[in-house]
Order: sequence, then C-alpha cells, then structure tokens
Amino acid sequence: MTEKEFIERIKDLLLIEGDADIDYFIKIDSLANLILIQFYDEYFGFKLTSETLNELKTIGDLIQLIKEKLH
Amino acid sequence: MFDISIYLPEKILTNENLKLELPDWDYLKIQDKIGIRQRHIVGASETALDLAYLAAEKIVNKKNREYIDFIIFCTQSPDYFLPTTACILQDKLGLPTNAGALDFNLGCSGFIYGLALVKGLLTAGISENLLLITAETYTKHINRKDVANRAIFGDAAAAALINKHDQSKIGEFTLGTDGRGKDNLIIQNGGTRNAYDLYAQEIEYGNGNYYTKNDLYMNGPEIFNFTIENVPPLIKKNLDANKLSISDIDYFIFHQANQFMLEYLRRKIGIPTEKFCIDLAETGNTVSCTIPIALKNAYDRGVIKSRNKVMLVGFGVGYSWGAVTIEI
Repeated sequence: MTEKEFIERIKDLLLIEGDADIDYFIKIDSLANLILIQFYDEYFGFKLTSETLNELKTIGDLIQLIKEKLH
Repeated sequence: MFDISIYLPEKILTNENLKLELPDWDYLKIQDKIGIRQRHIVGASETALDLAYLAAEKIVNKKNREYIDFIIFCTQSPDYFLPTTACILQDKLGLPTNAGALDFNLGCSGFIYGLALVKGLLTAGISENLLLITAETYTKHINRKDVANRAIFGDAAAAALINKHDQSKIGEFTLGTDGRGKDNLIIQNGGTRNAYDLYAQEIEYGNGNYYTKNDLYMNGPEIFNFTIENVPPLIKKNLDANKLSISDIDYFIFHQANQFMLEYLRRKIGIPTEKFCIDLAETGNTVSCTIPIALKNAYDRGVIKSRNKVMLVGFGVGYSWGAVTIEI
C-alpha cells in the first residue's frame, strides 16, 4: 500500500471529506478508535493500544506507526 | 429449548433522543457502525431486582412453582450489599423455602457462567429445576456526559427455566479469566475499597466523553483488543472440546457488545454471515442479558429450531470469558 493509497483508505474509514495529507489532523473518537484498531490488526497485524491511540494526532502519525512497527 | 422470558424497562432512549441532548453527536454514523437504534433504560426507582422479578414472573406459574429448587441470579447492580437478590426473589416469586439461592457477580460472560453452574448442579444431582436469571442496569452508573457508553448500554432482565432433562443438551464449556484487565471496565467508587465521592472530579476521555470515579468507565480500545486476542481461540477451544467444527454449528450467538466488534470477530474467525447473530438494534448492549435475549429471539423467529447446535459466547468485564455449545 502506497502512502497515497493509505491516506485514501484512512479518509474512507474515518469519513474524512475533502483533501487530506499527512499533516491532516484526525479526530479520534470512540468509534474511530475501534476502526483504527481493526484496520491495523487486519492489514498490518499489530495491536494499537489505548496509549498509542491517545498520542495520534495526524495522518502522518498513523503512517509513522507502521514504519516503526514493520521496519 | 428451555423456556426463556425477557423483561425490558418501559422507558426507551432512542438515538434521536440522545441527539436532542447532544446536537454535535453524529448518530447516523454511530447507528450504522455500532448497530444500535435504541435501548431500554430503567427509571430512577427501578432496580435489577424489579426487572428480574418481572422477567421470572412470566415463566414461574402455579404448575412449576413448587418444583423450582434453585435460583441463580447474575447482576453487577445488586439492590443491596446484602442480602443477595436471589433470596429476595425466592420470596417475591413465592418459591419453596427448600430452594437454594445465590447471586454471582459477572457482566457479559454471566449467562455462560450461569449455565456452567446450572449444569454442575444438575449433574451433581443437587437440583432438578433451576431458575437462571440475569438482570443488569448499567445505565444507572453511566455519566450523562458519557455519550460513548450511553449509546451502547441498555437495561434488561432474562430468566431461563432449566430442568434435568435439559442437562444432556448443555455441552462442554470453555471458560477463562484475566484479572489484569480489571481497570479497563470498572466502577471505582462505591464499594468497600473506595467510598462514593460526592466531590469526584469529571475526567474527559475519548474526545468529549466524561466520567467520574463514581461512574462506569470503559476503555473501549483495550476491551476491543482483549476480544480480538481472546475470542477467536476461545471459539476454537470450544469447538475442540465438543469435537465439532464451524460447519457443525447451526448458529453462533456471541455477547452482543456492538455490531462493529461482532462483525470483525465473525470475519476473523471465519463464521458465515447467515450463521452469526447480530441482535442489538432495539435493546443495545444489555451485558449478561444479551445472550438469552438473542437466543429467545432467534428461537421465536424460527432462525434456530429443535435439535440445532448453537454456540453461545460471552466475554467482557473482568476480564472474563466463556463459551458453551448447546442443543436446542
């Protein structure tokens, strides 16, 4: 999955309308928590803890997380 | 199938009602993903005992009353520290004084553990006709500004009348516990460790939800992680214990936590959609009552029939989990 594809996927999952890039601030409410946990478990095979979720601010943070876990 | 009766409080809280209180709340998104349209909630003076009594009264009648020799009652919202609610129910329902009665405190795994106790009592010959009752009123413990939990939980009671002829239809159990998860679904104050605090501070969590330590707190992400980790192996272990495979099971009834979580578990485990119960739109997550409510609804609607094999799966607060395969 390319960075562009990842951003599109996140936009779809979190119902983000309009343009978004790595600096886009994401609103992580209780439903977004569940959506992200499922997405990371299903596609990247690792667990997002509540502590990690609390630290996420932007789409770039979501991408950085994958880089740190998988490289 | 053994008789099950349900009681739901009269008061209904719809998503539209919640939206009036919280204009910024995107209820259509929640409804679509979480799968809950409304939930029944108790009034200020209504308790788990009241709900339990009204559920049990529907299946306790003149004919069977004198034969009921045990009451097992599950709640985490007892009317009193003591005596047990089961003792009060024995009197209110007019059951014989030679009946045994006990309460146990479990949440979403409660119905499975109740069935395990029932099977033990039947197998040991201690009891022949039992009343297993679950009743829960979590909404009494949820902060009004905690919309995440108000949108999920509802109140209810369920009563099941089970006798010695049902014993062989209750298959093998798989149970589990991990108390390290205690802080992730908890009411901290009001017990003997921490007194109820009149001046408890509001704490924000999950982007705009509030609770105090007197209220119910749920760490949704950690609860979801717990289910992802523990429920798939639980299903496998219970299938193995009963020498069955997924294709042998006619229907799976999981604790109805929320539709999003259930759908993901279903896909992860590989259960076909048509064999998987989603039944929480009208009642929400009623804790220990979701499984008996869904079981009764599935039977009444003809989704499951006599001789079908149904796996029941509960998981949640504790952490505590359990599964059993029954024959209808």
